[in-house]
Amino acid sequence: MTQVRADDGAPATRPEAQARADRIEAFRQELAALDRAGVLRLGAEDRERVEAYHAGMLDDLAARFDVDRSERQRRMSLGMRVATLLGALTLSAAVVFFFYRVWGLLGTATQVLVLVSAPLVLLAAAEAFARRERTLYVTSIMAVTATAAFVLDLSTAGAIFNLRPSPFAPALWAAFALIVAYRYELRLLLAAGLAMAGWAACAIVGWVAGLDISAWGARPEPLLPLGALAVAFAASAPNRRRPGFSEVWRLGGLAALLLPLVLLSTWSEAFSYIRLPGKTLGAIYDAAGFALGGAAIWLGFQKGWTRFVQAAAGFLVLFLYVKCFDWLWDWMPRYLFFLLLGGIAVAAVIALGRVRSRRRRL
Amino acid sequence: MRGRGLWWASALVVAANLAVLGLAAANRSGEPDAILDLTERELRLPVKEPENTALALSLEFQRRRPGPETESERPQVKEAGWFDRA
Repeated sequence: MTQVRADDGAPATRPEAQARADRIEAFRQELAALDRAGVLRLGAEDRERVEAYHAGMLDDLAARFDVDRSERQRRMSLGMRVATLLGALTLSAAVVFFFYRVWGLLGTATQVLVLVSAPLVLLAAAEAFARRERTLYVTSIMAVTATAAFVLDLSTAGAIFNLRPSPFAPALWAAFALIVAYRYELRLLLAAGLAMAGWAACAIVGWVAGLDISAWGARPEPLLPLGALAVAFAASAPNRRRPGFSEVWRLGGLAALLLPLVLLSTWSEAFSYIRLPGKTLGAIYDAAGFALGGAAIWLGFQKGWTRFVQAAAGFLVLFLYVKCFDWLWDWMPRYLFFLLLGGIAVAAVIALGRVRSRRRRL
Repeated sequence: MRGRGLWWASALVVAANLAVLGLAAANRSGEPDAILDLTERELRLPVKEPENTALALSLEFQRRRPGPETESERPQVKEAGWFDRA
């Protein structure tokens, strides 16, 4: 039997390796179906060579990337991802509650020492696990918990020394989460870091504008340009090198660009920095919501970004429903209102179905 | 970033904490502009939570809203403008 090394077009990342393993599995099943139907029958020698090649390739992929080789393994991997998320959340909660449980028993210097060392120790643990495991499940738990410990550190240190809340604290938390996310290629932490960066941007702009601390997060306009920048930055080289990072940036940017428009178009005077009459500003943001939602769908189709298109289409439907409620609820009979919403849903399904079949023909 | 990320993240933790300690030190340095005597009426122990061993004091105050005062709004005003000047 010929020994085949799986070194041609070798995948560089785990998703690429998993896609290759999936293709091999699909090929095997299709070949068996063709064989049963009598359409194609490989000779014994050819079959043996292909089997040996694929077995070598799968062994290599499993050794380097720990890919799932069967449906059962795939289901277990999904379970491990869910367990990772739950583990990260619950361990973070454990760190926070443990500190609250003991900090009254400690002196100020010890409190500060514990607060500073917790994120550093957890970071070291993440590094240690990252060197041992290929799938980075435990690393992810440690990294998220380290971020939670850093959030606890700054917020509690501010409380201990009676400092005024700072709008720069979320920026530091975002920086920490993003550095760690890029270090270990963790999409969950990247998404958390982007969310905190958006919060930080709103807080800093609110602080510069002289808003009360309780209103820092209630003016989401700074997110609009940042969302557009995030979509543009998604294709940068550091993101392309890391699996899934471009998509997280794109979807995060899209959310930052579109979701604030729901608030800004409906309650313009409450949520906007711009001092224009509420009706004028609302009309501008109404137009922006429909235009940007449509533009995002067009861009997603052009670039082949499936989830981007789905998210933008989901936003457009949500935005349309919110606008219908805003415009029509007060004067339209309820049955007619819901009939209209149902009609819009049917029209959206038909329109998307037509676009889908047109793209299939292309 | 990939190789040095661990050190950047650690440096960020240390620098942020040094900044907090520096701000706290600056906040407590120098001579006070004014000294205010407070009693148990203003300084109260908040209700203790069973899972939190922290010792805290809360400052209770009221301030009259400028203009005519109604009975219902009197105890609700929570802005400590007078405290800034002390």
